[in-house]
Amino acid sequence: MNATIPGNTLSSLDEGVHMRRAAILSLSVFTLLVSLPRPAAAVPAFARKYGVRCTVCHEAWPVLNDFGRAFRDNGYRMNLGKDEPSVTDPAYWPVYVLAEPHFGFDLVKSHTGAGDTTLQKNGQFQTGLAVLGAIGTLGDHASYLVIPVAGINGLTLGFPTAEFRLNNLFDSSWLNVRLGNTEPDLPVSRVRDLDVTGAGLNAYGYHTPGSVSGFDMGGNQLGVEFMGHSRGSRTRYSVSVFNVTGSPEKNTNFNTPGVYGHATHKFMLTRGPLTGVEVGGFASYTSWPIGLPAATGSTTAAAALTDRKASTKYGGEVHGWFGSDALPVHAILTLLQGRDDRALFPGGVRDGVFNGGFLEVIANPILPLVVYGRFDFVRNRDQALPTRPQDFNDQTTYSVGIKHTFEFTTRAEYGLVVNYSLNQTKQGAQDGSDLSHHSLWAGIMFAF
Amino acid sequence: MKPLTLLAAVATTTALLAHISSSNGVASAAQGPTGTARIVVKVVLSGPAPPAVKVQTSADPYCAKVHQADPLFSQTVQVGTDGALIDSLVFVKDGVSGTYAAPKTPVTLDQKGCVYIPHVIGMMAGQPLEILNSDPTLHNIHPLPVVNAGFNIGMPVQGMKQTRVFQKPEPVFHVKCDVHSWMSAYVATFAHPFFGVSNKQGTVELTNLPAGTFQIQAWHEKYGVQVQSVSLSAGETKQITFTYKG
Amino acid sequence: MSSKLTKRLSVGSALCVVMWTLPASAADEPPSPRRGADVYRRYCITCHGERGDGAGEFAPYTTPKPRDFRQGTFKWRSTPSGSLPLVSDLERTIRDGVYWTVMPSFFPLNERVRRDVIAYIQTFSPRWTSDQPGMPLQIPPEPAHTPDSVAKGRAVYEKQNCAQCHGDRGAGDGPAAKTLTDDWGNPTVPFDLTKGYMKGGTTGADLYRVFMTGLNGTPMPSFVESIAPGEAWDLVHYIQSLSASQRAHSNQQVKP
Repeated sequence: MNATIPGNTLSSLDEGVHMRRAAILSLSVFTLLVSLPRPAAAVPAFARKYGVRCTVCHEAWPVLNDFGRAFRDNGYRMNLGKDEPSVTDPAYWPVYVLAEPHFGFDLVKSHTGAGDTTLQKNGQFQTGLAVLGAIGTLGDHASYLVIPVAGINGLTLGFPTAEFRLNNLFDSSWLNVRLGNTEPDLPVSRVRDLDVTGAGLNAYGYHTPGSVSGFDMGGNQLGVEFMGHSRGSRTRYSVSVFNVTGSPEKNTNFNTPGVYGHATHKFMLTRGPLTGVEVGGFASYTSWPIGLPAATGSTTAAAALTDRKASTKYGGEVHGWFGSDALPVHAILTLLQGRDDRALFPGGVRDGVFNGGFLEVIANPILPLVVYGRFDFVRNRDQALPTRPQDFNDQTTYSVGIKHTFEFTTRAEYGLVVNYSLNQTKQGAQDGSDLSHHSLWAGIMFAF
Repeated sequence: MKPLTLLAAVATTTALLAHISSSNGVASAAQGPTGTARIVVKVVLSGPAPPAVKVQTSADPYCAKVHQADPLFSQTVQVGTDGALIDSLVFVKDGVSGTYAAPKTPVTLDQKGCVYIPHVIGMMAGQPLEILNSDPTLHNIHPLPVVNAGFNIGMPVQGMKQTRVFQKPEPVFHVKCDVHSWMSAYVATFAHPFFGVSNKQGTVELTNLPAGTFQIQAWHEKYGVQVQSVSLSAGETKQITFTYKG
Repeated sequence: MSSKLTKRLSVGSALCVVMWTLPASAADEPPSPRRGADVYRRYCITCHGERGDGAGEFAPYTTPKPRDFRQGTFKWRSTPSGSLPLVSDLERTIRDGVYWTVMPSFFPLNERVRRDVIAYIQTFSPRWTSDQPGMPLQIPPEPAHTPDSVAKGRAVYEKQNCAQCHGDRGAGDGPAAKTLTDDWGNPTVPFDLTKGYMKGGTTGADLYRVFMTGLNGTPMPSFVESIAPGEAWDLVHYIQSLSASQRAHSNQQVKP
């Protein structure tokens, strides 16, 4: 499900109008995000199949630990002769359900020198029901994932997350091919994000204000991924080639190509309080057609659409795990820089450049309890439009949360989640004042 | 420290160390007493003897051949004349203390004709058990002790022999052959020599007992455990009978 | 603050950070049963149970049953029949998993995690304090995997009478196959040697260990008294040839 982050503009309309639109759109999207469950957060079907409980694969549900990541990289397989449908208990169904009934509260305020204005304030109970997903193994070298995202009233929004993966080609863990509509291999996955308010990870989808590019690095992309890993997934690489989701109507196929790459290596330490360090780098290069969409059949306008301009993001990540291996404190620092070509900005005088990233800390002091916090920022470095102040649409997000699991079994898991986030956008309101969006999520997460 | 005091300290320590290392690891317990008293134990099954159960040995062609002419009957309940209950283990459960040296002569457990001979063994902890395969077929010797370390050794060759030792005293434990599921034996290891297995007449003689009061226990594979108390003066002989109901 | 003080403070705090993250000494920390308990609760408890008795929540739904740690009886060892395993044997089992069972390969985890959980598992059985593991088996280097070796291995298979349980072609259908039980009284079957991967490990050395040390707690005996070391590798080659799978022939460790 692609989210439009506040600050991401849609078209080159009158500034005031589109800012208002942006504010309203982002608010609605936020509300929607708040009410929809995340697709592939955790898969209890695997717990049932292998007789493990969620903690085996998830460091802090839904964040994956080393074991879970290796399992996923293997194509959702343990590779011990018990994976194929032909040897699995016939009563086993590779389907699972995630439900998240909760109370959601949103407060949006704008701040000027004169004072604060409340733009929106609402709280409501949401059923957050239900994601039905199917993930599993088809055979020795193939696995699949299908998650139709169902919204409220049974509406299906967006293209379902779906993939077909060929695993361990040529009996090597270094070549796996995934075809489908899925999230790229991100430093911190958005679908397995601990934050449930939908805040943060802003840098993934951010573009310097005024850019027409709609590429969201953190959203599903339709394409092919080549992925490889060492035994145990200590070293991993991923290269995705895709057509950018959300590209404007087109006459020619694949008019919005993109490529994303990511490589990481984890060092295991056996002495001292630091138990692991992981370093990685990633980059995306996507193009976006400029000009207005063509009418069907028109060849002249179609030519205009082949004029694609580049939007790039590049950055690195460092992870550290402290304390007990089984109950770690996990810190993640990700920094990136994004650059959109000048031509992507109607009226732009230079490339738009921003810096962004986040620092996340996840603590798991006892098995049922997870405490996490994240500081997320986007700071514009070069605004492309000359009239904009440098910090126009800079964003800062704070998110804290606590999760307590009531019961772990090999069949289901359920727990209480409370998450608070604050997103501050410089000059994000329609009148140019700063915007702050408080969000509270309190409810139960249930997975079967 | 004065040289003389130092010397005295060193000498004392050395003597102490020598004493500790010379004792055989068991805290200096006294040698267990023996005497000339005896208990003659008779084990009897009252009521009619259950019918002998024939054992199917067709799974192994050799065993089938051996028992074609001479059928194999279950060793679980063996009754002699006048209700004599055979292969019942009888031993002193309480009343003796002290250490008794384990004999060096081994007890032999033979795998012959696809049965264990003998079926029930009493032996001393630390006494060698010589295991023999007299059959030209594979047997695996698989005791299942809880206190002692067990083992499971394949003995495919006729005439193969191996010697094992159970170091610790342990109540009755099972010995099986996985290849031939009907094969079954029982072993108990004791810290003292006052035990025996009832013979074809159903009798066991517990000899060389010192004077004292003893708890005598009888164990049978199917009929369970019984205990009797016996008091002996020096050199006395007493007779007791354990009667199991069928 | 004076620049000198600032400098000193920065150097000092940098040093503190470095020293805090550096090991206290060159040696590895001793394994910790306390940390191992956390590991056990996270990864092991659903099969092996809270008391280490192999009666976890998932145990009724799987065959073979998860290991009961309370007797100190372990299948996959390099020590003699009846003996405790070496810690390295347990490490190998946890690291590589057991093929054809639900015991996963925990290779992705830090090796310290495995050492700690082994220290915790040892607390389930008093045998670890009263007994010592026996001398591990010495495995001679593997000779060439030739058809001649395979033929010799067949002769060993016949002499040792493996067919009694494993069947003439190794399919686990021998005459004694139907009546086997493990130490806990659960019915069990002889391994089907034609399946390709072996359970205790996929290399020839793993297979060598299986029949030379036996599998404690199961009907599988040790044949160390009746197989000469020279013959043992021939038997390994023969058993590997029983499987149609290409993978069984390779001595490369195929890692899950």
